[in-house]
Amino acid sequence: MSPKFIIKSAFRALRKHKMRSLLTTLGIIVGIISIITVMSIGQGAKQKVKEQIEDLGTNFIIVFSGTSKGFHPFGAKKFKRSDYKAIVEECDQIKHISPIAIKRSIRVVYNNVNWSTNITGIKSNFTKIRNWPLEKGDFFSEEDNQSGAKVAVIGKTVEDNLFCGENPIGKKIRIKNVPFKVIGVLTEKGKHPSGEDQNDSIMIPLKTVQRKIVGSYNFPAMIICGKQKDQLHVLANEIRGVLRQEHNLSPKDEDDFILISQNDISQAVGAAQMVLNLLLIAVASISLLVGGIGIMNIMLVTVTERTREIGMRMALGAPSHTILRQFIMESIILCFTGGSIGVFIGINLSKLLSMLFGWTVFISYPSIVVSLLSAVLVGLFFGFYPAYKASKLNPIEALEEH
Amino acid sequence: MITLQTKKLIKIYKMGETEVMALKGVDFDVHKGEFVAITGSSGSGKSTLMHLLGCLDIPTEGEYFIDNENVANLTPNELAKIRNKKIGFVFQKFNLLPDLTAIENVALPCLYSGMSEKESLKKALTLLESVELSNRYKHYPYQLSGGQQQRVAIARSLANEPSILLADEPTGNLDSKTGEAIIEIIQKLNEEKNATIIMVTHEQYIAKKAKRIIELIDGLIVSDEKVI
Repeated sequence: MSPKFIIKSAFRALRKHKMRSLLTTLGIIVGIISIITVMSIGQGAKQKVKEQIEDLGTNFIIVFSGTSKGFHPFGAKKFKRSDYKAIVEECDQIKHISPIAIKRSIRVVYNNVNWSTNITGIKSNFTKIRNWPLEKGDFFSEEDNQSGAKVAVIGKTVEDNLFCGENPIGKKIRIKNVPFKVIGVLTEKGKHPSGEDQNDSIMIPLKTVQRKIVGSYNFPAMIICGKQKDQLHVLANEIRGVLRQEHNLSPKDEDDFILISQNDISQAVGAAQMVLNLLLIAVASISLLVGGIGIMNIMLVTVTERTREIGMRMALGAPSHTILRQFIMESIILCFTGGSIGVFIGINLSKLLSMLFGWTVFISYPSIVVSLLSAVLVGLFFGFYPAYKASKLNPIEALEEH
Repeated sequence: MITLQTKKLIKIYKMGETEVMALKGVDFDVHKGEFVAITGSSGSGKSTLMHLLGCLDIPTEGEYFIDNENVANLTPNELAKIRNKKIGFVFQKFNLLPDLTAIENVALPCLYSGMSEKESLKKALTLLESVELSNRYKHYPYQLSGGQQQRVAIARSLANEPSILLADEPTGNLDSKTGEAIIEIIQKLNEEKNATIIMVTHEQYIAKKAKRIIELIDGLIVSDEKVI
């Protein structure tokens, strides 16, 4: 018997009891809705975090001075110029490297306007390391850095608050009573994964910050850009080795610095996502299990109700495997229909949530395929026993049923 | 040519502790083109015999040949195949599948035998024409009268050109006029198509429409006579 005909008659049998079929599949519908919705939101969040991480730069490694015990990123023993030189000399996988000096919450003045912001001292390769282009003007050059030029590149938030629509290029701002000339404005960037506003900062040549603002040539952090993504962990280990050597640490000592590579962040985020996904799978499995038991129950009822029909089919020469296939097909179609309804509602619910709460949702084809596939598997699994029962009926007894 | 032959058919049912011997050794032959009525009161064993002849059940003892093939000891799926190919059923309660249209009901045995859907439906339409129902081929059973349903059932029983047509009280659920018409169709099949027909009935005037009457009492054949 052709599968097409089996499917056609299965649809017809289910249409006969529309309300019952719908109610039966409710469990499956709810299960699939939850899978689709949570997966969409999860994927959306993952996508957003991934974008934020990539936004930090490509193949980057950040090293902070200080230990993980009592974490003081900018308060602990700082890096020396010799640390920096050793890394540059010994690690050949480095594409860009720059020490970072940061001073937080510094008052900046333009005319009579005040704004408190973070000052970052960095080398001229900053835009390359961070993939962060300028909106107007230029970034400072390596000569500006070497000479300790008093120039500044400001973030969008600083421009908005200090200049109120005026063109800031060429204007003088005062930081700690030192006049700086604004030579560039950075383009607007999204939030840092930590939630900090990245646009609220001023970039100044490293040397200038060290001389005029911090007053020390030591620095609390370094940012490094690797040449190859797949070699990033090798580079990270090299840097760790060099720094341990420079700091005269014995093998028993712990690192006195913290090294974070882009891979670490991605992995940490991935691990968190994994926990979330497992939780989702658990919830979805329970609702699909409950739904499946409902399916099995109604299929048993169906087989009992249609005993006479089964008897007739057997009398006409239907072999038991055809009867088995027929009822399994009905169960699968029931679940597949429920799954499709669930997918439809789930997609729209995700879109609605995205509209209402401004969440990023990402509806992936794999999630739809997985949902429909699991619905079909539930139908197959929970439909098997009732269908098997039907196929093993005695034709005479089945025919005499009223 | 012998189409059907039984040798000492015995059927014993177990009802808890007690055993009931429904058939106590039934022997008879049916030749191709015969029209046999099997009669007997209720409890005579005629239903049991019908089930055995229809390959819906297997005998406890004895042999049963259809077209010289012993079918007494086949597995359920082998029996299903025999039912599909060799036997056409016409039941008292018509037994059409309620969810299928007339033409689909008629096509079903062909579909089960592995024929394509297109061909099965084509054949089914021809069969419905032969019982003068081709204009109702898309009707569902509930849209048809009892007589029409039984005609669909007859068309269905012929779908795979069976060796034997088994009719179990084919007029039992019909008024006498419609019943006559059904019997006429069955007679015509026998006379014009040389179909081998076995009809179970408890009504004498229906049985007399056949060419031969076998009477059962308490699981044994007590008479086997030609109708003059």
